[in-house]
Amino acid sequence: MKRQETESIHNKNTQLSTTFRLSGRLFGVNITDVKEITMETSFTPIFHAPEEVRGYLNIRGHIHLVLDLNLLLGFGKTEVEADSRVVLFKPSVGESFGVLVDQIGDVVEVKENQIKKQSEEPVGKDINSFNHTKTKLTHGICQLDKELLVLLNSKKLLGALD
Amino acid sequence: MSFDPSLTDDFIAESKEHLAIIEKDLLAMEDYEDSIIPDAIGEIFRSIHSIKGAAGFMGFTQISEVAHVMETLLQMIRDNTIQPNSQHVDGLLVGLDMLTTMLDAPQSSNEIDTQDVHTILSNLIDEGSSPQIKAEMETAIPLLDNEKNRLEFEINEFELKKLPDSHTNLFILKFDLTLLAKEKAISPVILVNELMKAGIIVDAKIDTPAQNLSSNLEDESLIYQVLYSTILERDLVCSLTNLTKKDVIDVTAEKKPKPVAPSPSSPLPKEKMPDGDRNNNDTIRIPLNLLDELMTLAGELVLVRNQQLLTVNKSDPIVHGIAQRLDLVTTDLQETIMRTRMQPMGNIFGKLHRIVRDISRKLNKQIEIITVGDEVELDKSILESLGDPLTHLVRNCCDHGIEPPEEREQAGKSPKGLITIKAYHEAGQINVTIVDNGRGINLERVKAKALENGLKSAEELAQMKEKEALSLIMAPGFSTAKEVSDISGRGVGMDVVKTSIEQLSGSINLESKPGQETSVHLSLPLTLAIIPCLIASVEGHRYAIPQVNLEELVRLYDDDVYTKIECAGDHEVYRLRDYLLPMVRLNEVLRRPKTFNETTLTEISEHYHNQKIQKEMHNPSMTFAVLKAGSKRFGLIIDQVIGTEEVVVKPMHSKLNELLIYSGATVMGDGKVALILDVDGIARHSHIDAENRLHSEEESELHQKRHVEKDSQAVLLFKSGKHEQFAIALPLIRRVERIKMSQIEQIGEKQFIEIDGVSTLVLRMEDQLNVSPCLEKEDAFLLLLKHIKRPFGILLSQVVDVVETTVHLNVESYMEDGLLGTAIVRGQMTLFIDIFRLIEKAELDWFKERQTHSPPPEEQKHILVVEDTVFFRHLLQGYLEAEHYQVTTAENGQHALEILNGTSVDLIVSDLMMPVMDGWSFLEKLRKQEAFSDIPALALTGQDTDLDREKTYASGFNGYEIKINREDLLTQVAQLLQVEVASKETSPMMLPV
Repeated sequence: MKRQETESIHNKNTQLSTTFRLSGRLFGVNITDVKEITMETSFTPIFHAPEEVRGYLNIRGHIHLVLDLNLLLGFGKTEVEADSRVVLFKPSVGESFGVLVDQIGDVVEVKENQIKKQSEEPVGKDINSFNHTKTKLTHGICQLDKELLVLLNSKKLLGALD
Repeated sequence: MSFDPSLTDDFIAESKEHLAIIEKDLLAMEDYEDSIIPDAIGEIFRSIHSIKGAAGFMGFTQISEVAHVMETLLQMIRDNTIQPNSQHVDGLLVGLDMLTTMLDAPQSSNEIDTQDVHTILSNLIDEGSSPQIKAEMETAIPLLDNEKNRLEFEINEFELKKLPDSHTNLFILKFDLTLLAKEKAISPVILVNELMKAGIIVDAKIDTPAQNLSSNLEDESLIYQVLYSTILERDLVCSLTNLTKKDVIDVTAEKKPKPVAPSPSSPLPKEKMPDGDRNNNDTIRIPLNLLDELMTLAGELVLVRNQQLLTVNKSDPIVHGIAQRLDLVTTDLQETIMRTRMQPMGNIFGKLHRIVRDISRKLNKQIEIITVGDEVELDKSILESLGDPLTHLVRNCCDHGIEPPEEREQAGKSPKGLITIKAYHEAGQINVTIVDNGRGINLERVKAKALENGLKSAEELAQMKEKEALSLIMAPGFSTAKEVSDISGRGVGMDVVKTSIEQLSGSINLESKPGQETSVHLSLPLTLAIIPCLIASVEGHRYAIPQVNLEELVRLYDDDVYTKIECAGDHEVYRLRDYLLPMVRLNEVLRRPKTFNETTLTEISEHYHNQKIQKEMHNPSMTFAVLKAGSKRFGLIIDQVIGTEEVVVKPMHSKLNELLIYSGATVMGDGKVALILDVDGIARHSHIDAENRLHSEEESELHQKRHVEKDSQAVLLFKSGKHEQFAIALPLIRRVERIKMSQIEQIGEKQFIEIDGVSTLVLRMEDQLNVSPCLEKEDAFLLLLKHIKRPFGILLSQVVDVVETTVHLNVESYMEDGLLGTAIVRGQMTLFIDIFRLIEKAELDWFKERQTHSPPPEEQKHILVVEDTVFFRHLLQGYLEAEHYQVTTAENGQHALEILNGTSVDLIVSDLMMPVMDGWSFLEKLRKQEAFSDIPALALTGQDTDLDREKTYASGFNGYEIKINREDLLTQVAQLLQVEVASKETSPMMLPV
């Protein structure tokens, strides 16, 4: 799996990211991981599930687990508002699930050499608020024209529930 | 072997299909003993052959060898070398069983000892083979390639001969399995099938050094060598197999066999026809998840259809027509997809023929089995789980039902017994009836057995209706077979069948006409993927409760909501008819992710009881569902019942598997997700089964009562001031009256209120004890006491609850005059009130009367108190000691007698209802001993009936008191002691009446 990932990045030199906002900050995931983005935010709550689980969502007959990405990253609980969206991932990323985000952003093209890998350098100022386990969700950081883009590793999101 | 597991799975699935066909054909063959159907033989032969081929190259050598021997025998039958009889069929069936066993766990099949099977089959082969064939089989023919080099393969003459004449060409083909699987996705199974279409695999080998077998084979090439006999020329073989010429080695047998004259009966040409008609049922194998996917999509289509129907303008005929068609097509589509999961009953009926055949042989009975409705279809998963119960039922029929032939003839029946199994659709369910025309069920024997096993008492059995008695057979631990046989009746019997049927959401019914027949009727749902559910809502969210678990719905109105839900221990309970049903509040269950413990339970029941007392609940009705999970029953309180619906079950997300209370999720008609509740999980989560207290209905209640009598006491918990919680023994309380604070009148230093037209003295706790003052709010309560002659009540602000509590009062940590002691009840320190002492403190003059009647004794009198309840024992002791008596206590009559043997007492105060030895027998025993014949004895009891009174005096008591009026008790005690003193001084002795 790892090999494939690095291959796709090296081969192209650039990577497309689906970006979205969480508590005012810009985050992104690899666009190839994303199945779709939906406006549907009427979840069925699942009592007894971890706090980060917002509930179940039916997308064309498939039940998806929706996680609160703000909570996963150590921000507060997401308030569902008009701009709220759910980013749903492909089955290859993990068993049918999606994440609730505050607002969806543009698709951003990032050059491979612009990405600072999480493991190589200490975390930047902006994301000091992450605690240790949450930093594992981060794939890398990229300086855009106006702001920082934090790239998340979508394959690790479900695992953060444990 | 490290083959891809899915490959092994394919192999197993396919082989099992073959085996099923073979079995059917073998049994059919036996029925037509005289005229063998060559078709059937050919078919069996082909099936065994392909198992052999596939097994050989999966490395399951034992499977392949057994198949090989069977094949040889079949070959001889086919060639008319052997006239098959039932011995041969038996032998082949044995082989078949061995194959089935090995296929169940192919990975370990190579360790299975197949020697017996080999011996049986080889003997059959030996018997049938002419000396010539034997010789042929023993003659190995070395094989040579074009350069006349010896090859690894050997072939015996017999095998060589049995190759069809047309197959003149022999090749060795070398395949690299790893390469095939990786690059062309051709599995060995496919490969074998391909090869078999154009020729015969005579022998095959896998070329791997033995030590490498267990190591990783993935990257190394795995050479599969096939000795292949075909009509095709080398070039064609190359193109067929995509092998290069160097991998196809031309082979010649050293001695070219003489051409065998083609026998006219040889079915070979026919056999060669590609894909025999029965092998090819026009079926394909589809993974279940693909079907589930289709199911999901169809479900979604229904949703879209529903939305579309809402928006359609019904007045436009064209649009309306289209909408209607969409409606029809969608429904059809959904039904069709449902059907893909369905499998015919015939799949399991087939096995039953074999079972009946084997058993009837073994038992020397003649039994015929007829199955009707082989084509009736039912969900694959249900069908699979139905196999075992059905087998068991049929075995029962053979073993218990059908009589031996002699017995049948004597009874005027045909010597051949008949078992009829019928499957049919009815009312959306699958019904299966199993009827045997045997001896029926002997009800008397069933009853006798039930009595013997202690399942029911003689009275219960006498009252039982026929049907009820019959159902005893399905009670756990019941077996009517006189001797436990290895066919049925291993102590676990019909109860297991019943449980498995119920697990499938089905039901089972028995009927019997003695001497004529027994019939068992099964009803089963069509599918488990869709289950009927009750949809209920709690706090605005919908939940599905499987109907299987649902027994009934109960709705309470108005005051019942407050009064009918009571507390027993930590649990809220509802008295449903004669059963104490524990109650679970779904909203509380959902709110609390942690499994309930006693604290949680107390919290919940207290919370609702406070609401109850203060009538804070606005909702004047309450609904609960009576649910059953295994042996547990409980009431689940929900907000609202929405209705029933058939829901498609989807499993929970794998990250949420740990959640006990859900069994799955489903998409509702409006496209929203609803969770399906796991009733058993909820029971476990809410700690219903703690202490097993509610398992068997009456017994546990009785047990509980006894338990209570021993060392616990029902007390009323109440509050007066802000802080302290008080407790008073329930038997002392007459009732609690609701009063208005404003109605209390102040007269001098005392307060009075009118209750039932009587001015009643109001006693405030803070006046007598060092506690916080009673809350001044308008609604208050007055506690009225039993056994107090003067009108008198204790003021309280809040009734907390009635609880059963163990009474081991602590007198060390905090003690005050007017208290019995303290104890922790529901996590709070609670003051137990000595009510008589309190009254005494408040109104000294009330008790003066008695004191004048009983002057304080000059010397201490010794009193023996016999009482089983700890609480009353302490209470009595306290009262008597306060009057300066010396007190010894005993727990029951037996205990008291022991004490009396070493101690002299002046008076006995004894309870009547006690364990071990009750008060009556205690006194009778006592009076028989001369030394004790005149000790005065006072009986104490809670029951004030004339019968008791008579019995009590008859047994030798001198007096009788009702629990527990302190004043009267002490008066009586004093009187009895005086009588005794008097009787010693003067005579004659007078018994008080």
